[in-house]
Amino acid sequence: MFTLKKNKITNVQTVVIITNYILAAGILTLPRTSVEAVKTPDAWISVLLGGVISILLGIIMVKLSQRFPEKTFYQYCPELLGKVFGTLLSCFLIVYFLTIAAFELRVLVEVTSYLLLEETPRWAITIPFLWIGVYLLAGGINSLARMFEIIFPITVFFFLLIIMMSFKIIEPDNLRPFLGAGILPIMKGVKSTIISFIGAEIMLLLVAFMEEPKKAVKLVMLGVAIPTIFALITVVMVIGALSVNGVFHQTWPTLELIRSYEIEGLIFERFESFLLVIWTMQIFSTFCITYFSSALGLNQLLKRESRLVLLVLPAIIYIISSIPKSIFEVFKLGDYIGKISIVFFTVIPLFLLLLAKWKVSSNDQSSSS
Amino acid sequence: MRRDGKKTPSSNPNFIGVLELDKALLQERLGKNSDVLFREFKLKKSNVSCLLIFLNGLCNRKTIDKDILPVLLEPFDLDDLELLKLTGKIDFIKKYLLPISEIKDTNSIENVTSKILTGDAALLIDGCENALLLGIKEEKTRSIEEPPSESVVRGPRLGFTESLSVNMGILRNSAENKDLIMLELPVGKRAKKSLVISYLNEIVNPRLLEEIKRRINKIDIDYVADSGYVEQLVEDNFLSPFPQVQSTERPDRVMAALMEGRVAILLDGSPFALIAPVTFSMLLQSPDDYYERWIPGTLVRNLRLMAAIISLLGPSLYISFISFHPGLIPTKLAMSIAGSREGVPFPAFIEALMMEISIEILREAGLRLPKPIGQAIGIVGGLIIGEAAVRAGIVSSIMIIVVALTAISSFAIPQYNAGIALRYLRFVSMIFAATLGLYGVTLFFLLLCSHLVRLESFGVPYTSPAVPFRFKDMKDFLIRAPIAMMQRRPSILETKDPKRKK
Amino acid sequence: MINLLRRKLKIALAVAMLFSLSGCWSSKEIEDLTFNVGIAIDKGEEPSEEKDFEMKGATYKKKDEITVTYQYVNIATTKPEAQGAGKKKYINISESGDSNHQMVRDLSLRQERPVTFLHTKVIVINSELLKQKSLKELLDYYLWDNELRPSCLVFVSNGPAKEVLESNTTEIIPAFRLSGMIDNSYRNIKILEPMSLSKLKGKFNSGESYLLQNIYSVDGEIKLSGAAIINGKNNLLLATINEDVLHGISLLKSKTTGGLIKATDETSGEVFIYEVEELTTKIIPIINKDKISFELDIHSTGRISESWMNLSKTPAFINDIEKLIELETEKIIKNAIKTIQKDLQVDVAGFGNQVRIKYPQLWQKVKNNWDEVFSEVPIHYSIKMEVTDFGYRDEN
Repeated sequence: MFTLKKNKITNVQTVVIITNYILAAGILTLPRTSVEAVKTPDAWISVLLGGVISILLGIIMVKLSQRFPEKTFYQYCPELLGKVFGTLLSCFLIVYFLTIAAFELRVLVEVTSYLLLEETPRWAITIPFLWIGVYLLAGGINSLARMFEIIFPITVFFFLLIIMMSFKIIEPDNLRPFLGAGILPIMKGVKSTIISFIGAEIMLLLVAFMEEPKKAVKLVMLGVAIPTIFALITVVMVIGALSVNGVFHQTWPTLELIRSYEIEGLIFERFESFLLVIWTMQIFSTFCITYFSSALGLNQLLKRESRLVLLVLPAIIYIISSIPKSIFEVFKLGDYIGKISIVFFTVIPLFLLLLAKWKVSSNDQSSSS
Repeated sequence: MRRDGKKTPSSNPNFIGVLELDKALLQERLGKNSDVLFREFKLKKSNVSCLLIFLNGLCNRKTIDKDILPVLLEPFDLDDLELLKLTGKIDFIKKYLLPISEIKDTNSIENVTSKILTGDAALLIDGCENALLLGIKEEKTRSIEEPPSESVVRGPRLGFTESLSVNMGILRNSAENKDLIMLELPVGKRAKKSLVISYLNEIVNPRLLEEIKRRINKIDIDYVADSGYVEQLVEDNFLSPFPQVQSTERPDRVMAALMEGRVAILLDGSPFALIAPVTFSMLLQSPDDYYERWIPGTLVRNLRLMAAIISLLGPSLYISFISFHPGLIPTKLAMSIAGSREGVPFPAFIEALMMEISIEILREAGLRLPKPIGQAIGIVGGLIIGEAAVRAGIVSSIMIIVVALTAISSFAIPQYNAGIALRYLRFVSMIFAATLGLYGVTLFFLLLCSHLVRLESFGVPYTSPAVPFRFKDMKDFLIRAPIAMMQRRPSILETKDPKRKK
Repeated sequence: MINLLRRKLKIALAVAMLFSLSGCWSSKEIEDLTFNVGIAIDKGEEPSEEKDFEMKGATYKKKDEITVTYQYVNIATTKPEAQGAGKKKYINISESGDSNHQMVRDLSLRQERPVTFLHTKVIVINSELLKQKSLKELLDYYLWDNELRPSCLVFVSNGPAKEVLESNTTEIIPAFRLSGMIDNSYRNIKILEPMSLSKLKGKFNSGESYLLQNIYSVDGEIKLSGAAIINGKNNLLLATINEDVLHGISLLKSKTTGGLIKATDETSGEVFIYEVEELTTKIIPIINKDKISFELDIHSTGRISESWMNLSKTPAFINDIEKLIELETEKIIKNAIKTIQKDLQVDVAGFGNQVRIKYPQLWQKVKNNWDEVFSEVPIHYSIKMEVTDFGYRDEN
């Protein structure tokens, strides 16, 4: 109809999608997981390093995807590895995305149940959420991208607002000594922080939809840098206010931080409501993009544009999200996802990139000889 | 003749040329109407018979009496006869005789019939196959005054009327503009009306124009009563609460939209012009913003945005805090709210629902009453009923405040149809809040955004210019940049000439 | 085809939404709740109503370890029309037992409206009770409950904690009064930085000893005076310190606001007041071959705000006053340090913290018995006070 190119996303949208994907459940638990691994106030350095490494991984994935213009991972993977392995890998990716969607959903349900709606049964919290996701996704990647463009500024605004207000309970001594225990604990911590930043893998799919794929490298850097900054500020604030010792045993340290202060006189004394609202929106966006990725994968594997897929997947996600029986199992699931993603997204894209380069050079040789 | 004795309309679509027969044809079609008058006479004291047919109510009788008939009844003089021999009867009358500004000749009986019924006069001449249509319709229209539903503090006090020609005239009058095109497309299968598309030729995106023409041509309905019908038949998504076509009575709004590269639709008989495509931000804008300077313009616009949010989410936030999360409001406030709600028999949701429905009923009632009483009833009704309800212990005073604030906020929205959308969406948000508290309100917001994001108006995303984010278009969204800085048209419309000429 | 599917989808959605209307499970109207604003924990002693219930047989299996008094706002008095009606604005209910959670739940056996801790502001604990029961155990339920906010403050009381939550006048709600008084901390150096539940969690995990504000109550009036020292290892009350010692410790912790130093002139015997404007305390650990000592550096500027003797602008005079003030300050600090270092052998002034920051490796070695190490370390003082002006007056 018009010129707004269907199924193409702008640069701003690309950045926003990456950012929204990475910012999710992790931000509530990151202070605890990083401090538990590092055991010193230097955990924020691990966070920073985690972000940097994630950017590097993202660049590898971008370079890989740029070799196959207009094709997503599901489409070019069989080209590189042959039908069997390629399909296997794609299936794996689909399952991966589904699991993340289920995980995020479950975390949302846990937190909402705990803090907002104690008596409400789990399904009443989940099902409307799923339906709205289905509705949004029926509009394709364009509506998804635009939705994220709406959610992103709201998140940034409120997040900065409430984090900055927690300044008044920060004690700088809690953040010292700087590098007191040396570099080693920080390195140990990176292993756990990087789990929160694996998100650049979405680039395996996004590059195919971009208006300007050439800019993908810059955009992925920006897209991962923004959540890194968010996470950095969060960890610094949380440790500063609660101290390293206060963060241990605290399931949701970020929430604890926001609940720890009251500002008399302002309209809202308590600000956790804001945090929960924007966090819900963030979980929604992460959920939608993973759900979309798996739906895309199924569609491209089966080589058809089936609307039915959109309806079946939420059911699967719901089932997966109901599997863990306790909050501990939920976190274990999160850990598994993280560990798998480290292995998968460091090794495989690099391997595929080298494979692609080798193939091209061998093609050149064979065609020139 | 059919067997049942009824006369059938002759199948011949054209005039025959013999006056008696043609008159019979027309009488078949129009004879039943008492307001259609047939005037026979002889042309210029000759032997040629003529027939003038016109509609009593719509024709300008003065013109007929003073301009048409005298000329046609005056005797020929020698020069006339010469010309008559040269040109033939129709041409002679049309080109040399009749002092009427609009004359068409036509062969088609259908055409003549419908034109007579819209106020043209038809002249049939014996021996001629064509008839002449004289455009002497008398415009019965009211004076041009400011539309009551869209008044501004500063700006022209002009409003469209029901007459299409007057409206077209007003638009042309806005400025001398050779690019302004008015294209007529008739609509309505049984009762035809004139519809005019207006656009600036050098600016508008040709694909947009094509799309609009296509959709209007697809309109397949008996009678288009008002531009509202056109709006509903042409819009992208009829299930959406949000209008995808803007309707306005103000010519300055239309002109501004045309200058941006949009297309306007005018319908005869309706003072409401339509503008397409439309984005969400346009619904919160008022011409005031542009006539005032940029700082007050920006601030007032943001105020309106706040008002829109309050009117949408006010009661639902109230319900979610009072019924679900009293821990999230300040302690002193919680205490005093709890105190004032002591003894109220209903939960917050029912209370809110009752009060909101009452306000909506009051509002509807206020529209039907004559102007001065309507205002008073609104205020009186609100205050007194509210007070009485609090005294009786049915609702709490906090509820009254929330409802009053919500109602006032919804009046701040300049576009009536946007206001309506927010009014009933408010009820949906209340339901979400009543079942799932603050989480429900968040879900509602997500649902609303999902819908807005999928909505398009003639190919333009509804949520422009916020999303997709184009920095160039931000100058007219949350802020209203100084006029000197607004040099480009909205890029989302992909106009032919993006730079506004200085 | 797609449209049909879409339509079905929308109908299904609508029906599904209807399900959720069948119950607003979590909704509890605000006027149906009782807002608890303060909790007082005393030694287990059954209040009279409970004794009566027990005599009639209305009791369950429990030990009377603690008695908890819950303070609610009397909602009837918060109505705008009911202001000044003369009824008390608060209600206190006491329960005794051995489990906090059980006692809270049992309140619903005695009351029409369920209690909610969403707005609880203060928790006061009897110091006598703290000598026997660990703070961590007493507060365990409250620390991890999802309703009670971590911003809630914890105090120790000299006498029965529930008397702190009483007041004579009908207008005052004692819990609010207490939390409001804490806001005065900028006016008086002897008010401690309040200890919130979230900060307490950190202290429990770190094993360091800490201070809690002590409150005295007489006849419905309360006074914030001194503090209680809680032993970081077992979270029991170690001792209470009086206002003078607290003054010294506050100075050590660099609490600037609200400080006044009262010095006496030798010749005339009159007093004058030095009002602190700026105060910086630096605790500098000095390590010499694994031996730790501290250098205490206090620098302050301020004014003479009140004097019962004549003042003069001459530099010599000012110098003299400054010396007097420094001496007085040194006395206060030495007194405080002696108390915590020698008498009580516990570091609540942050000396250890400085070692942790400056010498983290050394800290790892000493942190487990820091209190003993601390009791032996030498401390050197260097105090400098500067008088900037005499307020508005201009003496000659």
